[in-house]
Amino acid sequence: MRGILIDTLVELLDRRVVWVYAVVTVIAIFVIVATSSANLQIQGEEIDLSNMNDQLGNPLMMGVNAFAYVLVFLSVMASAGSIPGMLVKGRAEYYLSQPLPRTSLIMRKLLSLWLVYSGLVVSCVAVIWVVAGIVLGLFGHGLLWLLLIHILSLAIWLCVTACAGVVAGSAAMSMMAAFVVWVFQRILVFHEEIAAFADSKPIEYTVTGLYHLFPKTGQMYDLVETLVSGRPADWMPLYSSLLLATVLLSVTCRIFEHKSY
Amino acid sequence: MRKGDIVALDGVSLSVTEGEIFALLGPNGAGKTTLLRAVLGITSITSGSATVRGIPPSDSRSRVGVGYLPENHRFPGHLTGLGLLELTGRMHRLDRSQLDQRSEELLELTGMSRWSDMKLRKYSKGMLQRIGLAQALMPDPDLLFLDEPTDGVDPVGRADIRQVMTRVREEGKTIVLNSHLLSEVETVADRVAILSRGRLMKVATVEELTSRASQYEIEAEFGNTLITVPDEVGKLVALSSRRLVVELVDPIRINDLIDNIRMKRIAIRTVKPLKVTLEQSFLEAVAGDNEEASQ
Ligand SMILES: Nc1ncnc2c1ncn2[C@@H]1O[C@H](COP(=O)(O)OP(=O)(O)OP(=O)(O)O)[C@@H](O)[C@H]1O
Ligand SMILES: [Mg+2]
Repeated sequence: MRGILIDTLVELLDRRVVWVYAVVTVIAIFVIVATSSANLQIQGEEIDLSNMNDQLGNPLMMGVNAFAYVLVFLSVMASAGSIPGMLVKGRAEYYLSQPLPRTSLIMRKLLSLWLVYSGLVVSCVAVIWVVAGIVLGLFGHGLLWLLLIHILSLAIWLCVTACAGVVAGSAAMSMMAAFVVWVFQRILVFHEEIAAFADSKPIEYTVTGLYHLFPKTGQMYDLVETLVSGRPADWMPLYSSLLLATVLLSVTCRIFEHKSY
Repeated sequence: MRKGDIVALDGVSLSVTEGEIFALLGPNGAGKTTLLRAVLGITSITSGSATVRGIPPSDSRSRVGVGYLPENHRFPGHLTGLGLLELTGRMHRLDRSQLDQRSEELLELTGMSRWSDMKLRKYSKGMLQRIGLAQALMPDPDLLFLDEPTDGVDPVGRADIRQVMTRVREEGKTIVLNSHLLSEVETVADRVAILSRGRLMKVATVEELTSRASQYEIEAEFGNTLITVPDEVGKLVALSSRRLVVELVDPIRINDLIDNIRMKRIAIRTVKPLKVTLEQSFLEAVAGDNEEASQ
């Protein structure tokens, strides 16, 4: 595990994507600072911060949630090429000739990608949370929930791109698969409306079926908001997406185990 | 074994004994690389079987203690030379002290110490080949697969690599080598298999391939003396004032010929079985197959 983890980390640093995360974080810090001065203008006078925390803590966490969502999206794009990159001609020979079962090879790689990119997402979100705390004097609740759900969402996306990467063997296909799935799951949120509009049983079944099948990371994003504001949560999007990820993972391992390079 | 519509290997049956250097020879596209990939479990076998120490390639335990230098490799460019050796060592479960010790030794052995901290993407072809060899030796393998190890390496480096191969064999380890440099194969290999268009043409020791048991060369002061070779002894291939080449019906007949020459009071300087180069022998083996292919 150590070897592949270091390999993944070195690859990440080598590709300089860390800078993209840094830029996005800096932009977010600017937004926070701008918001803080806008706040002061509206209020005009001294503010009782302990009082503000209750009223503005939630909107702040919505902002952090959106920020984390963007970071997960970046991570999916940045990591999509990693597994196909391992399996290009000339490099596949190197990795596949090691005394590791293929399943363990791909699982180690996925786990490494997950750890490395989760580390990035968590650090950036933590920085923003702390900066918001210092600049605005607000400490939103539910940071752990927020991080947990986004990290799980990253894991689900990694399973999607890994599957596409192993099957199609190209970074472009892997990214496109993630994008298509993302668009579909966004559309399928409206499955009830679509079914009502189409007014046909087969279409209703198809759409509803697809809705349950596809990952629901969009709704997981909403789930974070629910959790942060302390309302009762619907966990279905989370566990159905995790279930799909597990299925995709076992399919990926099965295909990889038998693929000829 | 098939790949797409091509039957890459057809009815090839081989076994490599422990402690020998076994070379696979054959024209481009003969299936040498495919054979190695099949044995290493990289390419799957459609029919037939392969085992490494009794374990099929689909089982990763067959690759424990096995080193491989692929042809046209593209090692991860983001790693440094040392990084590649450490990654390989870790995947072979070496511990920290083994990692340090082996990588230092191998960087030294392949002459790559100076470049160990440079990213592989900046390496030249020969440098990649050297670090690739070091990588293959990292697990201290008792079975080593080398696919054209000297490709792109300078003459000094080639001699170094030959030396490494001999040394590894002396440690009782096995090497399977693919190479187009027949002079090189001739000096290091013990046994050779010749493949052509996916089929096995010949398996023999280098000794067998390079000596012509039935042809002898005799050096002597023939001068103008006429030498005739009776039909029951063999056939005269070439004769000059100092050298005679004969194709014998049976190697034992050499004695008859020598008696014949001695009776003529000609001073014999040498008698030896005629050697051909591995290249000649290879070209002959493959030529037969090509004629068949063009028909
Ligand atoms: N990835 C692939 N897909 C389909 N066919 C392939 C592939 N790789 C090799 N082949 C075919 O398999 C056959 C054997 O190729 P192989 O690479 O084993 O030859 P080789 O003996 O190593 O040749 P060379 O001396 O050029 O390295 C060739 O006919 C080749 O076209
Ligand atoms: Mg080859």
